[in-house]
Amino acid sequence: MAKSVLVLGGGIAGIQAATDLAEMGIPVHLVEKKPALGGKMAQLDKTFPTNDCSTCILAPKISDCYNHENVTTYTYSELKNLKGTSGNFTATIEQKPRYVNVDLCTGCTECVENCPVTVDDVFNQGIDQRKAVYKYQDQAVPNVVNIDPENCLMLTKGVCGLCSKNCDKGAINYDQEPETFDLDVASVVFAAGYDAFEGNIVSEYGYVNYENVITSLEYERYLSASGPTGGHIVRPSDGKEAKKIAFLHCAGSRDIRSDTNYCSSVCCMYSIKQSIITKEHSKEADLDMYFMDIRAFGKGFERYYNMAEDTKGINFKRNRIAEVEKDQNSDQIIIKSLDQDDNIEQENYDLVILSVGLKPNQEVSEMMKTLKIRVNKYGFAAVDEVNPLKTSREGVFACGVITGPKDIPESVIQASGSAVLAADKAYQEKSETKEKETSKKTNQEDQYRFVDNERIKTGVFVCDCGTNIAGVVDVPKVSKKAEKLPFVEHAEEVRYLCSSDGQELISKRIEEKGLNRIVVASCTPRTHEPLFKKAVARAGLNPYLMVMTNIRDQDSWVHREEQEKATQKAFDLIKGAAAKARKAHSLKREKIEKIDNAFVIGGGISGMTSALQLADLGFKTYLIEKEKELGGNANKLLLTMDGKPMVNYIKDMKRKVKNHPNIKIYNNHSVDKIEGYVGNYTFNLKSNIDNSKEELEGGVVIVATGANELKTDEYLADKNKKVISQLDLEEMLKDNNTFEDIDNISMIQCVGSREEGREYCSRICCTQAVNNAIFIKKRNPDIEIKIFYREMRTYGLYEDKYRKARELGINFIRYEVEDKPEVKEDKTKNKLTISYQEPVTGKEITETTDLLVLAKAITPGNSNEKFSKALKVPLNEDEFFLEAHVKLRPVDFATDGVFLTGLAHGPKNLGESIAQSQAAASRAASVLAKDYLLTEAMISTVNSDICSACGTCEDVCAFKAIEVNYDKGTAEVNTVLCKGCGNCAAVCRSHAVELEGFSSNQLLDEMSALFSDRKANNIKTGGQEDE
Amino acid sequence: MNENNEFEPKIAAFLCTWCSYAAADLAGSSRIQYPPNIRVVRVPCTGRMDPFLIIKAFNMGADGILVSGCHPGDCHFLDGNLYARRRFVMLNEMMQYAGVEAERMNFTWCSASEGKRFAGVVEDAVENVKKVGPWQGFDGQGFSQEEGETTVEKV
Repeated sequence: MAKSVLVLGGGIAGIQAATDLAEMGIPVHLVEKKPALGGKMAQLDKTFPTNDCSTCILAPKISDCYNHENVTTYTYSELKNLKGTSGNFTATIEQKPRYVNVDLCTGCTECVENCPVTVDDVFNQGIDQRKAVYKYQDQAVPNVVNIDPENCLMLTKGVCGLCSKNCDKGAINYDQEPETFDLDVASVVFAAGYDAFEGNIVSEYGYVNYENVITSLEYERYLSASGPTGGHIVRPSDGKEAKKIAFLHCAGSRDIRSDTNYCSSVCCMYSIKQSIITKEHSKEADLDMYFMDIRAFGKGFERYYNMAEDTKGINFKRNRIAEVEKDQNSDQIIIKSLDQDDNIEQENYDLVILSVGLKPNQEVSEMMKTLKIRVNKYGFAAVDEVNPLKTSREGVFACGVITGPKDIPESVIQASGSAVLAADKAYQEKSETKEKETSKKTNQEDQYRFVDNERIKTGVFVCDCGTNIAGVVDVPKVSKKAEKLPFVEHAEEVRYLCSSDGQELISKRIEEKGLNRIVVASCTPRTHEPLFKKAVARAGLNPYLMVMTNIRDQDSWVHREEQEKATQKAFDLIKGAAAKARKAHSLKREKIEKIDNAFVIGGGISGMTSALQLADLGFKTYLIEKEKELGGNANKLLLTMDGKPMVNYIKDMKRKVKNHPNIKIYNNHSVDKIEGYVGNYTFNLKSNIDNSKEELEGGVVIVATGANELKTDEYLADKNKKVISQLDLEEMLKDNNTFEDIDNISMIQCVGSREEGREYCSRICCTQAVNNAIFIKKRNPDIEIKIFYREMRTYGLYEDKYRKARELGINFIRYEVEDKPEVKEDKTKNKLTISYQEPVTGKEITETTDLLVLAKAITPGNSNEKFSKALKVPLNEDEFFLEAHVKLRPVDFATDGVFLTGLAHGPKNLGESIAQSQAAASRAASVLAKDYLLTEAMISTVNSDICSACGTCEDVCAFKAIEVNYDKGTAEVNTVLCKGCGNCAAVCRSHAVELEGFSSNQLLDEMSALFSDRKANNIKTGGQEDE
Repeated sequence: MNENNEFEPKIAAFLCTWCSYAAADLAGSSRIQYPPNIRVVRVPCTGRMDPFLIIKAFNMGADGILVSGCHPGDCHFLDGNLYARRRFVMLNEMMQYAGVEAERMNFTWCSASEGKRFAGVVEDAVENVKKVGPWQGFDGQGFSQEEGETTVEKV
């Protein structure tokens, strides 16, 4: 048996880690402190840089995780102790009392409406109120309520009990006690998240005294359409629309007045996002962004920043804040600031938003210390650049903001990476486990009753949901009418269909009455379909013969005052569902054989890391490198970003890769041809030495093809030997070079980055330059170093390095892209001069420099286009590979079975590449660890008799799942790749493509039933009558 | 007709599972009230929306239609919503040419967090359709259909 893994934290990082582990077949215990899953991301309105709706992309992830058969979720629970060692931990968990029986609670919130106590709503950052019995958020998973023991009258004073009286399920239990229990786990993933800074972190900004100064997280709730103001941007003081708004960047971050003076990494971007969204809400809004540097260092960020800069009404001000005070005569806030020439500016604002940063949760930090997990001086879990996901305690891994400030994709990457490391500890006698599971599943699927030759007998079950539905909809009338519908054998009103009694009833009726189609009219299929499918399956009926319709969330709850019409609507919906069910087929998720080997393209650090990880899990891995030498760009590096020597690390890694029995290295090889799809890829390799060929088979592909340093002649690069790149410098420094003959060094940043044609930040150069400068300065303090930069992007904890460099006397000189430093050489080429404008005095200065080091841009790899075509995966506009989703699927491609890591994805440093490569291995392992691949059941099918092989379906499929087979003259669906969106069915001119579960027949019959009251003779009455 | 003899339209609302259907659910759990004139047909993605389904909805007696998917960029299936948009632009023109008033054709996006917006969208759609009155069929002579009959089967 695979042992279990404990995942601590149910935010996006924890959810990703838990899901990945579960997909690898490992039992997961997911522990979340709050009453519902989702973490901070659930509180966000939109996400940068795509303005994706946060809930839209998060909610499906939550439900996948929560409903996964291998995941057990404990909400409102905390880790109390962790005993034992890696492979054999005992975790003590305490579950706090909700005072609600979660098995009985239906989330109807009848109790909430009747609760007399109101307190500030924590989820909404205290902007509005909730009751003492409350649902943590509207879309809470699990969908149950909680009683807040500090404010509940019954629990504090022993009087009231209204919630209990109003709960006809009897779910309220005032006597619940905390429960403590132990879990045996092999490894632990810490994904315990962070806290946003308090608004008063810099007292001078007036958060405490002025109502119209709010934090960015509070503002996020204002922007949210489901937030307390319904997405209206108003002043807290009087609820009037806020027109003039200031964003104070770095509120508490990079500020010596606070203890958290690192860079919080995400605030620049989320502030830009908030500014863009604000402009979408209100075109006239006038926004001032007060900032130091805009750190738009991630993939797609620079374009996003440029877009904001080009937006009228979003003004970026590189001013320092002098004073924040309230206007005596109005509710406005006055900000006095110093511009770059030290002139005082003064402006009035309706609303001031503090771009607060991220800090470790103090309790979590303390707990880590007691559990012997080392934390750094800020309280984040201490990790190493080359082991970015390992904590100091063996078997305990960390991901997300717990190891330092980072954005969502980065957290997701780390989460997947930690999952594979945790899995490595959990796998024991893996093959045995898998066989058992397989046999179990096979049996169940084959047991479904064969119904195709039966007369259609539909069972309709209408749920009262207590009074939630029955209080508005006349359920007895509806179910009685439903009995008379065509092909309906049985219709029944049930008080709570989702209760175990209700589910049993469905199973019983199926057997009793020989039902072969089921209609469930209750709440939303988004949350409850899996439950009812299981109930149907238990009675031996194929679960796809069940159709659900939503008469609560989309009927009784939204038409409370119009009971007659709501009843009519409920009946219509049931008619529609019954008609749809009639045309439903038995469907099955097919099993597809697969090959357990992995391909890794690229033998740099990224490729080697992925290969090692997969090989350690027991998967045969082919590592393909076009050069003779493994190691790629990392061979040139002197130091890791945290300042440790690289040489030994690389040597060690190469040795491990070469000696690993599961890795076969194909260096000096290029890929000739790639065929196949997930589970079944064939690679044709060609040796670059003797042109010999080899054909290999594998199930997954990891693209780790790396990137290049920019080739340029700007600033006399490649023309004068005194002009070198940062990579060249690192090579020079390796030979104990003390630069005896050098007095001064100049470094120029952003060479080829962040300008036309290359509208992205190369991310690593600022930290690299600062690191190298510090290294030189320590070796030889007499050397004068100047760094010419546009924005200093030493994000996250690298800010410490920047501060250190300043302390060491390294000069930082800012330049504008329109006014770059000018570099000249004399005729002998021995003297190099650099001219620039001194930013403080504005004087033009020309001076000689002994060495000029350029931070050259990272440019996409030469083979990107080739592999993009061969693997049918896209590139972005900068020609780096484009992942399936920039926020939540950062190592996946839309095409299943192909994964992405390292510089091929975009500029990033060593530690980030390593984490991403572990993540890619994790995602790949979740495919390989299964015994077979399962197709979706509701996918497209092609009727080859009608198909004209026109190829329109092929053009619109985002997943490359349908292709024309010209030999057979018909389109064919790749059932493994099809996701069931139905786009192909919609474009098919001859209706040859059908989407199972949503076939044209089904939809037409559904519509026909929905509008069956609209008979020709009835048209003029508007037809509300049906009998 | 209701007591005031006011025309109450019946609108076919095609909602994608991942965003707009979720928005409709959120309107429910937030108890935001809206007119009961829509009949929701859930589809996996607005990319599933064959224009023919919309034409058929009118054939079957819907006074108007509402199609709502994910905002651009939010699509669970990457870009199904964008394909849908293209189709609707075409279909819209064709339908107007065929005499279907623009007010009957309502297309929009709603994200999973826009419960309130969804309610507003429904209100607008109902208002729109009310303006143009009951749908009289493509030939102005009403429409005929028999329950359970589907045309596809006969094709």
